[in-house]
Amino acid sequence: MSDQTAREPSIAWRRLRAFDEIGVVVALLTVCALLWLTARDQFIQPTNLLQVARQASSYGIMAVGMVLLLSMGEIDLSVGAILTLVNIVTAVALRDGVPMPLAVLVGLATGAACGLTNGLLGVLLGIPIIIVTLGTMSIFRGLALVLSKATPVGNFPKDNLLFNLGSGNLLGLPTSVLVMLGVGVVGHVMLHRTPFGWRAQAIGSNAQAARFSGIPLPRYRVAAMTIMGVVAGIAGVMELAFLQSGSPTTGQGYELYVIASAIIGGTALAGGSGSVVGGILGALLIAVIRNGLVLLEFSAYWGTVVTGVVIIAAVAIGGLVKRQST
Amino acid sequence: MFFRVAVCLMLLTAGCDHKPSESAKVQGKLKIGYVLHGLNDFTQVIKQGAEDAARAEGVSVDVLGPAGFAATSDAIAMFEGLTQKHAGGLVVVPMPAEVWVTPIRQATEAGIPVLTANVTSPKSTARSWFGQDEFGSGGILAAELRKFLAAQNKQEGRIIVGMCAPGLGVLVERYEGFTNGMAGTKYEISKPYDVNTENMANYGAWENLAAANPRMVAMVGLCSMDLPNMAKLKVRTKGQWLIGGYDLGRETLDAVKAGVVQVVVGQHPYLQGYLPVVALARHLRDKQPLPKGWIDTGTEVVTRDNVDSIYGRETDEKKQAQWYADYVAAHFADLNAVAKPMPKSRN
Repeated sequence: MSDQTAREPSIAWRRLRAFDEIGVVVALLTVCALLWLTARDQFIQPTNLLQVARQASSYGIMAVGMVLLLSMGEIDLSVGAILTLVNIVTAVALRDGVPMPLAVLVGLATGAACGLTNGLLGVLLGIPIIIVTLGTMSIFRGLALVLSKATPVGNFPKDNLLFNLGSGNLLGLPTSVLVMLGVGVVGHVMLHRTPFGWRAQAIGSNAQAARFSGIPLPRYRVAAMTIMGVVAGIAGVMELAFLQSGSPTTGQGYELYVIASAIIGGTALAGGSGSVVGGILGALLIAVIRNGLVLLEFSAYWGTVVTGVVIIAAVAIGGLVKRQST
Repeated sequence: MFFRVAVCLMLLTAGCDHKPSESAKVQGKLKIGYVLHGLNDFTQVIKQGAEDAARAEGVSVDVLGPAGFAATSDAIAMFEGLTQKHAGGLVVVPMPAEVWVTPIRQATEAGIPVLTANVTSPKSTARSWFGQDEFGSGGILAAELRKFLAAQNKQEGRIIVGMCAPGLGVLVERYEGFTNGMAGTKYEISKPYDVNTENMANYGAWENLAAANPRMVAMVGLCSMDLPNMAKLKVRTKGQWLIGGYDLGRETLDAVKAGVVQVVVGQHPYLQGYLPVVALARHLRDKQPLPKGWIDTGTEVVTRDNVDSIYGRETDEKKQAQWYADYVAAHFADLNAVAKPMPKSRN
């Protein structure tokens, strides 16, 4: 009896430690509990919680693609710039009289083309993806500046489904949150339930072994980068739908937050495994921290410090729990 | 062999040892360089002004700026690049002021006259500054907002202020001017909150501030991206607070027209591009002395009462060029005559 009682928590603890998302879950619950204790009146208001979820959606949508890439051992630094370019291309198309559905398709195709370009450049030139995307980040952002003349593009008709839905709610949730959840479900299934996802993780775990086992690495790299481009494109269109104008300042610095979301969520930087759920929770954690800093009236200067500390703590907790399990 | 190498080195060295202004002359058109602190809708108007001035004066101007907001090292690299390109004169938006002291000194020591625009670098060797009094503009914004608050019989309450780049001198001066303008009232002015320069994060920051301060009476944004986002938020949440802030973008003016935004302060960015290029062109070509000191480009207040008279100028480049051509002729025909002593820096 005493043996069994001693073993039970150990099994539960072991199961808990098996979750890749343990770090982000603990960090998220801790931050939420602190906010519940200190700013209860404002933090737990449904309006506030929905706003926080919506604020997380851009990073969250893109984190799904980034988890896939990181699982393969790749990092895309151009995701923020792709979002900006798609945002501007779609806005310019609408301004120039392109029908809304076609403009959205043009935007998404732009995202796919950016991702495809990244993948092809990496494969054909034999350059690491991180370096390719360091360059294309500048190219895509520059193209957005050229197209927009560095000014917001907002003079187009807004009385249509895209803008009505994009700035509103559906089934009681902000539309962009539903899109994030939809992209998340697709990403999760793709990563964990399809041969594509298994092979992507195999490449990230040991590229040489994957090659010897017959997995066509170049094809997978190009496909994963294209998927990342499409996902960034979806985020770009959703931001346009919400803010109702394209802006060349949209998406600046997103790449680091998107990568941070994925890593906080338990995806290994070295590749081999990933958690789409964790990536979305990571984005949510960043949004909750931002919200909390305002609710608790942190100064503009200290707020930046606190954000960094919580992000490191979330990753450290995950690492600590996992080390104890080995 | 040694002799040949020595001769080549001498020739190369000789090629590097000419005065930039001389190089600018031999190329035909005079060359002027203009380095912005970033590329956005606000600096696009400065660029337009600079290019119109270059066309009017028959000179050429290279207007450069980093893609990020206040990406100083990129801007300095562009400034140094233009120095190497032998621009006859340079204009720069030195943001933040302190780090521009050395690059400006190096350029002036190389014989290139440097003027500053939008903001200045008081400890630098730049000869003149074309911009608005930021502290004063904050006071003007406060005075105008007080009128609107009084009209709604709101004599007290919290006013939330957002700063898109915390600590940036120009924004700190605006904030201090605003708080100074509100001194002696019962309004509680918040500390400046970080509202980010990235568009979506900016909206989210204002959204969080609105959620945290449900009883505020007004929101004030110190950057150009603030007002369009605050206006959208106010419409979506049916907010009752008033909105004040800076810069005359199309979306902002639309929101003023709709009565969502109450007061906007403009700082004539077109003139900040136009006037220094004119000054440099006339100095380099006609040997006119450069104005010394501060050319106050002025602060413009836009409300629903006068927005229609501003709208056409701010949304149509041709109308803008014509309006400012007349304005310059009326107010800035002699730049030396309108130059004032540099104001003392408050930070």
